[in-house]
Amino acid sequence: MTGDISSHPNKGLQIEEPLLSELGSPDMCGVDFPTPPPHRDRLGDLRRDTPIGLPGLSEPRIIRHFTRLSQKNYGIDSGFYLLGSCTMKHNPRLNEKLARLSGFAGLHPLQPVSTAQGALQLFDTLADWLKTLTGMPAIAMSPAAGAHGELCGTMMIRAALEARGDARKVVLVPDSAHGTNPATASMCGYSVEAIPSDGRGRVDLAALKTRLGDDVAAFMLTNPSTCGLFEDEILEQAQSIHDAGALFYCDGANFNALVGRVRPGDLGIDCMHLNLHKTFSTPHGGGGPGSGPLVMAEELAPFAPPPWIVHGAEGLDLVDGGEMAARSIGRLKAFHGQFGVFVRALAFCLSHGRDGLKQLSEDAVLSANYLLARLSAFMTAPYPGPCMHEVLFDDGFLKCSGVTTLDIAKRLLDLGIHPMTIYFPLHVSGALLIEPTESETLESLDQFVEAMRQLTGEAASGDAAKFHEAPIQAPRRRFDETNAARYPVLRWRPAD
Amino acid sequence: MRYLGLGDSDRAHMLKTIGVDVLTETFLNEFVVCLPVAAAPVVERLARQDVFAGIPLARLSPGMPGVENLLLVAATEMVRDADIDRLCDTLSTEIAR
Repeated sequence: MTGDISSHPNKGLQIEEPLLSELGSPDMCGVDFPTPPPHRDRLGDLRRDTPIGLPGLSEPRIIRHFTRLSQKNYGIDSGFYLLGSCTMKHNPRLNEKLARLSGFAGLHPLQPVSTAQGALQLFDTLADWLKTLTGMPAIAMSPAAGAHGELCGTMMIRAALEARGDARKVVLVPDSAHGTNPATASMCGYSVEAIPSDGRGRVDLAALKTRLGDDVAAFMLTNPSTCGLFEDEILEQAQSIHDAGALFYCDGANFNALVGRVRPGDLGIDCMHLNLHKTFSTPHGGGGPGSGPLVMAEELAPFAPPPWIVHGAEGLDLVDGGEMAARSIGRLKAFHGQFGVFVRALAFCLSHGRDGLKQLSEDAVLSANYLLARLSAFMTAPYPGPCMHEVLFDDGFLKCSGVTTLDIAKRLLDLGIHPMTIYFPLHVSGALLIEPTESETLESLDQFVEAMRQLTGEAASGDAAKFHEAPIQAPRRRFDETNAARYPVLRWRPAD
Repeated sequence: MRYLGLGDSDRAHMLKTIGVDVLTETFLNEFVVCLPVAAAPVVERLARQDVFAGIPLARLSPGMPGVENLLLVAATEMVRDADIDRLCDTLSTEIAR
């Protein structure tokens, strides 16, 4: 490390970690390589004619660098993580152990199929679990995340409608929808129209029926909704959608509230993606890894993307083309899907069993309702309970306090608690969305309740300045989030 | 990369000695060879001898004409001379069948 230790910025073991390029030097190498034997390369005119300038560092320094970076990450292993609509649940270490087995971790996606029969069996077994749990007869395993599953489903809906000579132009979404729903529909060339919520926080059924018509391709619903509420008129929604000749897409991001208890296929849904990384437990966030298989009705199955697993005389095989591909929308992804997530998801299913999966969704709902009951004593909920797996509050309890939802989130950091999702769903004023999941203990839920009681008390006492200054304990204070989003600095440049 | 010894033309040339044409002119560590026979069955048979010989282009680009005999081969710094010797031995045996 360079620099005089007396002037080093690391004080009290509060580590400020520079970038590797600032730490290392192109002249240094952390490994003693033997001198390579003389050889001729075939780089031709692709050979670099300028130094690449990559920094070299010693092995201990690299270990410290990445360990320090990992300590800057707050995750479910660090503490209570109640980010609504994200299902930040505990990831059992058994899953990780199995995913690291060399027979799985060392697979090449294009090695001979005869040498990957175990992997294909895992693939096929997980597909069966997912079809059984959702009550849907077919599945596409390749989508790489929730929004990718949405893209898959919407492309298939378009293909199915066009195949029956009935191309349509409009996709309807509730005003509480995840932002990816209208974005996906728009990417697939549809106009998007919003259906308002009713006074109970559910989809306004009358408004939906009024808007349905022969130009509507699909209705995209999240159930439970992003308000944490079960859409209790879903059967009538499905009937109306199908009567209008449209298809019914379900965003399965909130399946953690239903798994083992409700089969979406029984609700009239035509296709739905599953966020394996959420409901079936894989460490996620920060962009991955995810996995978003799409379950679907028989009517949509011919349009599913490859590959398909088929049972042949010599075992399982992966099929890309042939008759099965005649009406397919085509490949969505290189290779076969997020296999590492598949291993974890199947481990999660097998270790819980059907009864255990039912228990976990019940516990997730119970945790959310416990918070709803206790927090309602001093916070305001826009809709009456009971809720499902997540609980929604608005900013009514902050009225006239000079404190905003954002201030609450920042002040929570000073109490050592990761904030909830804020300002989503969009149609709820100052929304605070809390998803405790099934894996939090009663003690951690109670600690959170007491933290919120303290904050609401401080807000009510007129101590708004304390909130406006928060966080004061975090390594960084408030960021200029608007400019960070609009003008991100993503490229390192050496100092002059 | 300099130390890892990638882009080793001599290694690629070892395949030539067993009657395999190296088609890729310039490369770092991955190149296409043309076998005198269809690549997929050869890869399948070598897999039964614990040799992962490469990826048949017919699998990488299904339906593309003229790729039946083409094989994509990669050699990283993890591949030793003994591995390449074994690939050449088993591959030449399979091609000669």
